[in-house]
This record gives sequence, C-alpha cells and structure tokens, in this order.
Amino acid sequence: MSLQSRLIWSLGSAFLALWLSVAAMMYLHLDQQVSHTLDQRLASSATMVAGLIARQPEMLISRQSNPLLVHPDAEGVACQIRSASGEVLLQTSGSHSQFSEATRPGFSTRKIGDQQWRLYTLEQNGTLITTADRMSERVALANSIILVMVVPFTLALLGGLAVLWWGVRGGLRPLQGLQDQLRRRTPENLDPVQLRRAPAELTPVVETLNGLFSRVASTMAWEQRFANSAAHEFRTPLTGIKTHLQVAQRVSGERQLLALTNAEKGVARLQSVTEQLLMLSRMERQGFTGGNGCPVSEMIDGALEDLPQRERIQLPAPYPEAQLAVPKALAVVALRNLLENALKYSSGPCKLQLQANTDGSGQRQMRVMVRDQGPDSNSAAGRAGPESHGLGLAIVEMVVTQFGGALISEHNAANGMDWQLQLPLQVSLTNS
Amino acid sequence: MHVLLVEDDDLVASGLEAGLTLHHCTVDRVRTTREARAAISQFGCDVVILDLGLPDGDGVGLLDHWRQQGVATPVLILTARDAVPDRVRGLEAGADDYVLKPFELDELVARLNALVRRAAGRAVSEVCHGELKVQPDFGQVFLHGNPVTLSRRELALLEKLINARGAVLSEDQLKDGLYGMDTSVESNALNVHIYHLRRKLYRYVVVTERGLGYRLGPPPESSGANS
Repeated sequence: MSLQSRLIWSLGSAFLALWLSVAAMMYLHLDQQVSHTLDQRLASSATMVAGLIARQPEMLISRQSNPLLVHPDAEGVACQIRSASGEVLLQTSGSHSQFSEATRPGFSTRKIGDQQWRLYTLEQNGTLITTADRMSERVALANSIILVMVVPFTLALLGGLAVLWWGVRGGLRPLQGLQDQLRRRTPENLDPVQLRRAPAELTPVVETLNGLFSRVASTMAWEQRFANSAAHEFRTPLTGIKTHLQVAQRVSGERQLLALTNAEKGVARLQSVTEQLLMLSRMERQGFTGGNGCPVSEMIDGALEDLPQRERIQLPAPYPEAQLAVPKALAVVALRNLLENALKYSSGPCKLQLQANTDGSGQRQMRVMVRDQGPDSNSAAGRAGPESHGLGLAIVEMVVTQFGGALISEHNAANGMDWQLQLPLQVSLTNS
Repeated sequence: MHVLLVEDDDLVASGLEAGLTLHHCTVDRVRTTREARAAISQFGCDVVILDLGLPDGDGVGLLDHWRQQGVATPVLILTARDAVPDRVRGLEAGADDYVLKPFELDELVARLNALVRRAAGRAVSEVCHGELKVQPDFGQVFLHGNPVTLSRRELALLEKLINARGAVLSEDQLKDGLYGMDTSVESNALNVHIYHLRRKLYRYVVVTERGLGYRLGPPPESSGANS
C-alpha cells in the first residue's frame, strides 16, 4: 500500500471514528434533554392547572353533565382532573378513561389503546391532575431535532474527509516528484536530484541522495581512471614486446639482438605490472589488514630495499620517530610505488629528495614528501597530474584513502613534481 | 615517408623507430607535447604518430592546438585507450586514424601510407610517371618495367618530388623530408642523393631550378623511343 493510501486510510478512519463518537454522545445527550424538557413541560402544565383550580374552586363544585373542558389545538396532549374517588371532574378532548389508572403522583409511561402515553399526575387538595403526552409525538419531535443535527454533521464529515485527502495528496506531492525523478532515471545518470520547493523534511533526504550520487560518480570516475591506467600499463610493454619481436623477425645480427633485448625489457615491465595488479587484488581481498602499524623508519627502509637507482634518492637524516597507523606492508607498498614513479618520470642524473615529518600542530599525521626534478633536466616541459600516471599511483591512492590519509601532487619550481603522502599516526604515541 | 613520432615510452618508441625504418621511413621522435609543437613548427613531415598519454599533457589537446593553428599534416593516434568516447574525442579533434596498442607493424605502415596517399590526393598506392612507376607502400621502383634498387633516402626523395606534382621544393624542404631533426647531415648529402637518382633512373628525373630548388622532371622517354 502506498504511503498516500496508508495516510488517507489511517487519518480518515481516525477522523470518522472521532466524529461518529462525538455524534453518538451528542445524540444521547440531546435525547435525554428533549425527554427531560418535555417531562418538565408536562409537570408545568399540571402545576398550572392546579393553580387555576386553587383560584377558582367553583370550576369543580359546579359540576356539569359533560366534563369536557377544551379542545386543544395540538393532538397528542391531554389533561384530566379527577376526584380522590376516581370520578372525572374535568378533562380535555383526547383524554382517555384509562388515565384514571395513574393514581400515583409522578411520571409514568403507559400503553393506552394502541398508543404509548407519557403521564404526569399531581395530587392537590384531594384532586388528581394528570397531564399526558402521546409518545409518538415526542418521538417525532426528537427525530426532527436529530435530523436537523445529522445533515450538517454529515456534510461537515464528508467535507473534512475531502480536505484530508486533498491535504495528504498535496503534502506528499514533493515525495511523488522525487519518486518520479528516480523512476525515470537511467542507471548511468548520476546527476543530482533537483526538487522545486522541497519541504524542509525532504531536504535531508535529497541531500543524502545527491551525496550518494556524488560518491558513486567519484568511485566510477576513479574506477574508469584505474581501468585506463591498467590498460595503459599493460598495453604499453606489450606493444613494445610485440613491435620489437616483429622487428627481430625481419633483421639479423646485432639489430636482431638489440630487438630481442628490448623485447625482454618489455617482458620485465609486464611482469612488474602483473605483480602490482596481483598485489592490489590481494589488498582488496584481505581487507587492508596485516598489522597494527609500524615506525616510519621501517616504512622507509622497506621501501628502499632492492630499489633500482636507490643512489639517486637523498634520505632524511635522522628519520622521524613516530608510529604510523598503517600496517607496514601497505605503508611500504605506498612509498615504494611513489618512489618508483618519481624515478621513472625524472630519468637522468637528477636527485630525488625524500622528506618525512609530522604536521606541526596536532601531530596526528606523518607527511612524506618525494620531490623530483621533472622528466628531463634540460627540458622546460611541464608535468601532468596523477591522472596521467600509472597503476602504481592508483595503488598508493587506494592505500592512503583506506586509512584516512591523502596523496597530494603539485608542480615545483624545479619543473618536477612534489608528491606528498599523508599517513595517520597512532594516537597513543602522538599523545605521549 | 617522413614520420614524426610523439611517444614518451622509450621501449615502444625504439620498436616503432626500428620497424618504420625497415619500411623505408624517416622517423623523428619526440617525448612531450612541447617538443612536438617545436618539431612541427621547425620542419615538415608527411605524417604524425601521436600517443595520447604524454608526460606534460594530453595528445588530444596537442592535436586540437595543431588543427587550430592550421597544421594539416595527417595524424594517426596510437594509444592504449580503447574506450569509444576516447576514439570519438580523438577523431573529432582532427585525427585521421586511430590505432590501438598493441598493433601489427605491417598494418600500421599500411595505414600511414594510406594517410600520406590521401593527403597527396592519390587513390591508389602506385604512382606512374610515364614509364616510371613507384610503389611507396612496398618501397619499389620500376623503370620501363624493370625494378630499380634505391636506398631509403633516395626513395624518400623521389616520393617527395612525386607527391609535389611538379611543384618546386626548396633544398630545406627536401632536407626536412629526408633527415628530419638529424643535424649531423653533411651539407652536400642532398646533392649526392640527387646524383644517384639521376644515375639509377634517368638524367632529367630531377630538374634543378636555380635559386629556387628542385622539381620532378618530365617522364622518361618510352623504351620504344630509346630503341
């Protein structure tokens, strides 16, 4: 059931039940009040007749053969005056002989003939005065009053339900708009949702959705960049191998040997790329575990171990004493990839600088900087950002992102790049 | 055929240089977009092989810049980027062909020849100049139906003159086509190649326009006329 139907049904039912309860209570109260009022009228009539007789007692003394007093205008009302012996002294038209059975003072209801009557008997100075209302007249009056009450009540109830339906529908329209937008979306569409006049309650939902879309788009873009990098890293050495092998098939002697040597270099590069991909796969599968952290010195030593062209790197002296909150294996992988990348893109005699220090204020991060001097010390050519580089940097990015660190690159004055690796430090050691 | 190779990877570039040289091409290689801009402004080439992922920028941006500057040299993009949007972007930026790495050397050379042929306004690979027939794709030359063996430079010189369709080419233009960025060429090297062409083909195959340069001479006399 939709939210709109659920709201209309629940609110409508509650509304209906509330109104019907109020109507029932009003009906019962009104019925009692009408009966009470009519009874009071009967009693007042009897008292009024008793007052008249008290002032003119001759009305009863001068007895007449016909005791009929008056013809009342309204049917269903009657009055009878009797002596203590039960003799009818005076009565109105419509009175019944059976009224005389009501000898006890007070109210009573009797069936006389085929009609129900409401009687009130008053005793005064030995005479019994009975006033009577026919019940059918009283019921008709009560029904008229109820009818007058029910019609506007019903109209108000129906109107209230209609207003409720309109209100719920209007109130949920932004939600319906959001649903329509999401339903019409193609899977690849990650543009932010835009709702006109979105209510305050829906704004956090829309913001959360847009945040999610943004994160998915970033992830997809990263995946795309990674796939492009991986394709480039695989295809480039493969191209080198294939081209040199094709050349080797068509030449001989020294040239053939050179082509085969170059093809072998390509194989070594391809092997390195394959190992990087396997490492990445292992890191994803094992959930970036492998220890609680390591000293910075162990990370640097591990990254430099067996690193080609290690002599080109100027090391920090002394190593900072701090404990990283990154497992040693992963910290070493990140730094080694960064160094290999810098060595590759700054070929030539130029030195690389490796710097490591904690951030000044809170000392919650270790900043490891790798500074190179560009692709060619004789060239003034600029350098592109990390998106143009290979799989190694993708691995570095993956490691630092997983542990809340960052990889920042910027051009430096020496026409090279500064690669800054920001890694979190363990809290217990930084506080001490 | 004079090829400008824009490729930052040494392994791929050395393979391409060796392979294209086997197909009688003169190859000049640059590594960055900056070097490529300088090269194209300094000397003319017949075709450019352009890698997209260069250290100092994107190859498509370089191509876009060239086309905006009016550089009409055919460009073949040679890249590892296989996504359709990348191909579309490259071709829309002005590339004449798009080849994915890795590639077949023969196919790459055939595509380069096709680009140069189209740029010269020819539909077929064989060029006939009377009884002189040149097949640049195969590096073969026939005179009166008989094959003539020419060196790579001589063939490149003949191709350059044939593609000029009788127009006069300056000495610098011819040197650019033959030697590219090779600055170690001796000053009389071009004259030596012209001398060899005249000797191996016929005397007036290259006509000297004094003070201007050289142009392709009239077709050779028919073998019947010689006899």
